Amino acid sequence: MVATVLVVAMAVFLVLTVIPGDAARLMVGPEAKPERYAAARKALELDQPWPVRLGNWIWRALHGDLGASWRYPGWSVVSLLGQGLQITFPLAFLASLLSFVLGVLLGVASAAQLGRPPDLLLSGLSQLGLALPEFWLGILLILVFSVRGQLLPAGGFPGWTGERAWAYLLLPALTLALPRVAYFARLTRAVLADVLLLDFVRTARAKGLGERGVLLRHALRNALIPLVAGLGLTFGRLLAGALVVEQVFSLPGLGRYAVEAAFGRDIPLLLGLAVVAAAAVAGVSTVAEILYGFLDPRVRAA
Amino acid sequence: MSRLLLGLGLAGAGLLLVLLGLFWLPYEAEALSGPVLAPPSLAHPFGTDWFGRDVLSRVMAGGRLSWAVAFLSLAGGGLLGALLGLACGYFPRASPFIRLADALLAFPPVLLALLLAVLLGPGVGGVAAALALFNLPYFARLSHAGALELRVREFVVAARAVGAGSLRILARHILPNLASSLLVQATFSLSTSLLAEASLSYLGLGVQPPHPTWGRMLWEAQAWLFRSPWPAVFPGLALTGSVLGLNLLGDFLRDRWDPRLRRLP
Repeated sequence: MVATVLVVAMAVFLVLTVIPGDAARLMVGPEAKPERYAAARKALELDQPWPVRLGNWIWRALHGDLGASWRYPGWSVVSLLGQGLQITFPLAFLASLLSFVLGVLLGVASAAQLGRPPDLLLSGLSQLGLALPEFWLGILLILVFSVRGQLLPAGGFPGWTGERAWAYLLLPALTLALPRVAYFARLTRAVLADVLLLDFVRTARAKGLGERGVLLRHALRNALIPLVAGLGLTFGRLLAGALVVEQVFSLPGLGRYAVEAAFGRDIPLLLGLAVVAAAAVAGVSTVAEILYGFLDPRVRAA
Repeated sequence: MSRLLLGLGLAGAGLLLVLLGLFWLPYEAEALSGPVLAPPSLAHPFGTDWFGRDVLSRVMAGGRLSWAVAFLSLAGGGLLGALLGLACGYFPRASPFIRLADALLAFPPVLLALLLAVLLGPGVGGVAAALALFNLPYFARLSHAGALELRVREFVVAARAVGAGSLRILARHILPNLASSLLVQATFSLSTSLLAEASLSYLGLGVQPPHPTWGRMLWEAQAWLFRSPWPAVFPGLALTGSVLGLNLLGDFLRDRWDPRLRRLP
């Protein structure tokens, strides 16, 4: 896991050092005196060769210091990332949970009666999930729930101490969740369709268990591992990729900082974001692997 | 069959709208041609925007760059990817280079597009190059696997035995066998490129104003959402319709030509 993060960080570092554009010039302005410009170059370590910079950066990163942001003077990258995570973490959590619950429900429904309406809904949903641009879905949801319905705020965030703070995360979470429902539904249905043919299901039915009991108590358990794996994957990806939706709803999360950093060529911040993204994906899959042992005793033995 | 018709219809409508727009627009895309924020009417089938510009004309004009970038990035990424994959698959000594494509796949897609957009700068060329790099690994992986599998088959060995050179074998014997799966991938890549381009221009990192693109139009229209939904509805409809159509078309072609390639959920 640490290796993955390190490799990604180094790759991004190398890519970003190739970026044309003089960060020091950007910082002090075009009319600054040569001495100030030289000082800025020194402060940004631009006078050092890149291997030295990379080494310094890794050394400091290992001590929990990702440097100072260029775009937001006076802020350290670590504190900006912390601020962003306060929004993005709950948002990604809510969105993955929502898509998970809806997806499993739809999957069970469509496995229970293959080929009938839930199935059609499912294939329609998965086509739309692939084709709908997230930002347009967000705009449409704003139209329905904020402009017409006036039920939920259209964007922004009042801070966690603000009134009804969670309501500001509902629409973004729904926007992120809807295209991913079909993924969980297909996963559930695929496993259930296999399991329902097995002997123990026939036994359960033979001893008089209703169809609901068979599906929920016996068959669904077998889908838990792929579902948890999918949940982990989705959560990790959302942490790193809620960017566009955060922009739609003006949420000051990690994605907002990523876009701002891209505009401002804020290399320390971009690097920090890449580290968080890699760590999120790697960390979540590690946690998921540990969970397998609890969900399936056979994995523990191995 | 209905998938083919629906796919062709949707993607074709999206593309035709844009192609027609090259020669004829109902109004000039930047002209103030009617009342401000009017709902759809006969004179303005898609309504008008906050300056009184005709939304239909802007959708037709805005699709130009979206489709052009998508096709450019498909051509660049597909060509380079297929070359890389074929070379790495056919010549054992080149095979380590396929890891380059794997490395590109390992990044979170949105972050990759963002980094590339920063790296290559805004503008049509930069965005197209960024999205080409985005498409490249899929073609590389596909043709790599194909070349690996085909190079030891009898007809290839026979061709070599009668004296065909590597280039001839690659071009005449291996590539034609991969053409259908590459074409299926091309359909899907075209749709993801359209989507990715729209996302980048929505974020302001794509093609820069004043050129309208579907993504940028949606970003601008969002600010006026509380006054009128129409400028935000139609560009999105054109984009989603085109992407959905391409996906359906790709699904159809895949089932028809290449059942092995079935996309997992």
